[in-house]
Amino acid sequence: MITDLLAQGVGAFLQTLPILVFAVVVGQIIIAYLPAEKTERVLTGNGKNIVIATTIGLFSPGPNAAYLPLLYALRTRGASLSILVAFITSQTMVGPVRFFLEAEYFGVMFWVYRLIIVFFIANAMGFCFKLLGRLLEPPALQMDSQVSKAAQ
Amino acid sequence: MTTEKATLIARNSVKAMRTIVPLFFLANIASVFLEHYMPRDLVYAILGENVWVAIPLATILGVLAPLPRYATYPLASTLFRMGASIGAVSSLIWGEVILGSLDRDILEFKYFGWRSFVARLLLSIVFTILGGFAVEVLL
Repeated sequence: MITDLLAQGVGAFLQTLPILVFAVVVGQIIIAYLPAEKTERVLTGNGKNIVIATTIGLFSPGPNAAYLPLLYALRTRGASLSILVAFITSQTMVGPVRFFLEAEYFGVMFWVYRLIIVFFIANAMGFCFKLLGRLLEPPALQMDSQVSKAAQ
Repeated sequence: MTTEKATLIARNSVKAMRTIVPLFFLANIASVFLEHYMPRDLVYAILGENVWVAIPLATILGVLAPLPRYATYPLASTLFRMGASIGAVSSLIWGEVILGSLDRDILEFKYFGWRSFVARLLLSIVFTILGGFAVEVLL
């Protein structure tokens, strides 16, 4: 019985393995060709860029941890927390690699609807952070911004 | 595509697959056992019958379950076949990414502060539940 179940599991794994491999390679190709400077420019922009940051996040593959040091660097250089949160939300919730797996397991429309919904969720998260504003600022960054304002 | 770029893509793909593939394999095995040993009625009763309970429950389950990236799909697919609603399945997959790996969460906590981390966690849970209802209506 257990041998049968194991064989079934291995069969299911082998059936989806090519899709997983293809998805991972596509993700790496996007990472290799995604212009880092453009991403950086958009994420350090003004409030209207929540929508653009969300859109970039939707199509940015890979683990979120890889982006966090860059996001922190942008934060210390003045990027709004609302823009960064919009990016983090859309990047973690969708991402191009997930398309292949979701299409395989639940159909293409599942991914399409989820993509549209995540677009709204990430924007809503960004705007909520914008409304909550300084309440969410880490104390160190609040001090930094007070010092830079005083210097101006 | 230059040879250097192709080599970089190949090297990074292999590096990513070294962590993803073994966990994906285990998730496939686990989902077969889940399908065999878990009563369908129970899955339907918890994650399918009442979406008002199923979707928030699936979201919390996704947040708390220590499932690695992409390994949720075989399990979610099995639960769907066993009677879980599509909204609950969607929320489970989204919930899984709200709290990611421990290294990511520690970095985020450290970089953006606890207030931002907690606010993102709570808002993500609320919006994931709402998103689950939207998926349920749309699909």
